[in-house]
Amino acid sequence: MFDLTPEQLELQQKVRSFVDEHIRPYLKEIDSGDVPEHIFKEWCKTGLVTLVAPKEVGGIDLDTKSCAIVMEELAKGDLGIATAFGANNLGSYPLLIAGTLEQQKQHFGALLEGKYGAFALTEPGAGSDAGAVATTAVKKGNEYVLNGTKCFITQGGFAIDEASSLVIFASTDKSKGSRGLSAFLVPGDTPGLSVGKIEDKMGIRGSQTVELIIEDMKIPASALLGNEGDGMKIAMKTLDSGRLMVAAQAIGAGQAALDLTVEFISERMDGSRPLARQQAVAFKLADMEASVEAGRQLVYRGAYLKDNKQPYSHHSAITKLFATDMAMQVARDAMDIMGTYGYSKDSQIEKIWRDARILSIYEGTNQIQRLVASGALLKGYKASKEASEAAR
Amino acid sequence: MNFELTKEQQMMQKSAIDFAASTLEPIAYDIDRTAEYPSAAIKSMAEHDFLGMLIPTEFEGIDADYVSVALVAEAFGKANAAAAAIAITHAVMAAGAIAKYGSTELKKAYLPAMARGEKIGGYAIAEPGAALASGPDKVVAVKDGDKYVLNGKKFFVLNGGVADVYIVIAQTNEEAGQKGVSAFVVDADDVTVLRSVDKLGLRAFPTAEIEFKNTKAVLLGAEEDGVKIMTDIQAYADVAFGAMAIGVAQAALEASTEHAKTRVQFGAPIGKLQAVQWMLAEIATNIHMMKLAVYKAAVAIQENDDYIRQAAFMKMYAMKASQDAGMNAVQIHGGTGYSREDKIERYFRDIRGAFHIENANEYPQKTIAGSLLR
Repeated sequence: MFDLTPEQLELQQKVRSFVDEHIRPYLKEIDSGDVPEHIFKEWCKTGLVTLVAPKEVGGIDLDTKSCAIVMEELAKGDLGIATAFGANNLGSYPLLIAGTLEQQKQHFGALLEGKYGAFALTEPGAGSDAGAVATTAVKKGNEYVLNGTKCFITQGGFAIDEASSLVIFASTDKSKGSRGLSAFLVPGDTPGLSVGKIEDKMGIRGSQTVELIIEDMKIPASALLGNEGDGMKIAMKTLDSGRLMVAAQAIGAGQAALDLTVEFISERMDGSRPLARQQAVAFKLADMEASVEAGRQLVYRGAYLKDNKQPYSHHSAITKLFATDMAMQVARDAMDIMGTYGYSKDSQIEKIWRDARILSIYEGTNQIQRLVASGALLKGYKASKEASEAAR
Repeated sequence: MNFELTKEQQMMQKSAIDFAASTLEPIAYDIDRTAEYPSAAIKSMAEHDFLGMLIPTEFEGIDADYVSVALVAEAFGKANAAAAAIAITHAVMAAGAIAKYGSTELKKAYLPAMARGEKIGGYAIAEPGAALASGPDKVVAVKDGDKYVLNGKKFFVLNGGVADVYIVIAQTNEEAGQKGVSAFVVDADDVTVLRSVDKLGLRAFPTAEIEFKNTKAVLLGAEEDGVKIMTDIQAYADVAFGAMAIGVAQAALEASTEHAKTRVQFGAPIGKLQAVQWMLAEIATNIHMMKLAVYKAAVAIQENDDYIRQAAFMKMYAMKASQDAGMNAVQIHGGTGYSREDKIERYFRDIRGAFHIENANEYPQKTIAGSLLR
């Protein structure tokens, strides 16, 4: 169970080759902030553009561990690119959770053709507090009319394109708070949908992050995913899946930082001795490796739980929490070791350090992960205590 | 045991805070984006005597005590860390080194011009691809009459490219390896600037790779005093950069506190959440402890009492504490803290530089453990 299958090894190799050929040579360009579309065009040719599309709609329906392998390898190349490509999966989970076959055909049809997907939940006033979504969806006859503003939407600008496909969350009943939230499948070229501010970010500059303006956007009633009021449930389940992928990306970023540090320490001279002869430096490598590998196993275990239809929301939360904090710490350790070189843009570590800083913020801050995990633990204790008291 | 500032120190602090607010803070955002050397602001520093802080009055400086120097570094750091780093490099690492170790002739030749800001000082220690005196491009000094001639390259030269005079650590005794180094004063005219080195943070603080080709140099101190002088100057610099980090952390704390009061989630300002309160408390504690350590070391420098070790204690603690403060400030801000529109991400990148712009492998642990085991 700890070994990768031959198929998974082949997949890993395939993504590594992609990274070597289409990502590594362009790291400066990626970091400049002009999201390089040519990389996505190449990615479309790999057949991996939408990892989670079901076979019924022509997808490859990859198991979760394989998805994690793809995300780790992409992120090892560049976390921004992994985030951008990952947005297709994040935007697709709602369809797997609540989409009809018809809706899945519409959504995955677009993505498999090389169009972008996006997941639009966050708003200026609704970050960690997703229940505070202020975008409204009002039913008028056989249509919904949506109004509001979304922010920090990954690849949102590209998703506003003919035949692309977004999932947008809006409130169909404000009086019900988070229970009044609903999810809608929206083609990118829908009138009333436009791009506002494009964020200029510290890192993950290979991904685009935008504000989406929704003004009197009319969509057919058939765009509703599940029922009215299912939005929060769909969003939370989506994020359970998404978090495993963010954790997998964190493993990639951590591994990249570790690899660079091994190289640095091996090549560098300190007086007449290699730097590797310093215990303070060499021992650090062991700590870094131990934490990267621990994170990786948490991800694989989460993938196992999900693929075997066992509850994994709680596990997903601690995995994201551990893996993302780990990646930042490993990047910090790497930069500590590399000193002035690590602080300069001659090194690759400063980009990894900037990139990794987003990991504990997006797709649920690590404070939210702590809320989920501690809540699950306390609820579990209460339930087992009640059960044993009832049995007495 | 007195924690009060003297009247003079209070005056110096006030003038630094006023100057930073009026001259340094307004340009901080822009010069981070452009990585442009703020020459007008540096000239203005000279007019306000900040460039001659460690220069004796007979050479047109103000001969300030080291607590005052730290107060200035803190005030500048809070407003504009890149400008603070330029000032520290010039006033402490270059002018400070000449004032402490230079001959009268050297002092006369450089210090008045440095106090007036007509000559800017730089500092060159790190070498490309290897630790000091270890790599193929190491800078070697050979004696030539009463002068020396330097050859080799320096990577990450502080104030590199804008400086008129550099303090350079170069090898004079190859057999003694990293211990066989001496300190030199070198005119920039005789130096080739190969390129500027772009960095994560403190981006308007110039760093460059420079080359010496039969470059004339004047010895600072005695031959093979390099390690002693370098250790000494870096202890001074660490304390000043530690003070700068306090300033950045303080700015980050103020912004984070404001954000916690005004950002509403779950129906209330996020400052009502215990998790956010704890992060604020951690930043404030980091600042408090850094202040104790930095100002304790500053007093030790002033009193010439065990300050190398005091600076090492400070650095060991503050290296981590300053970064943790930056981490927490970004986390409290969430997605906004990751955006380049906000100043938080700059604080986070800049504070990382406080202890990573000097020699890579000089661990404070070495100093502390060495003193214990001796």
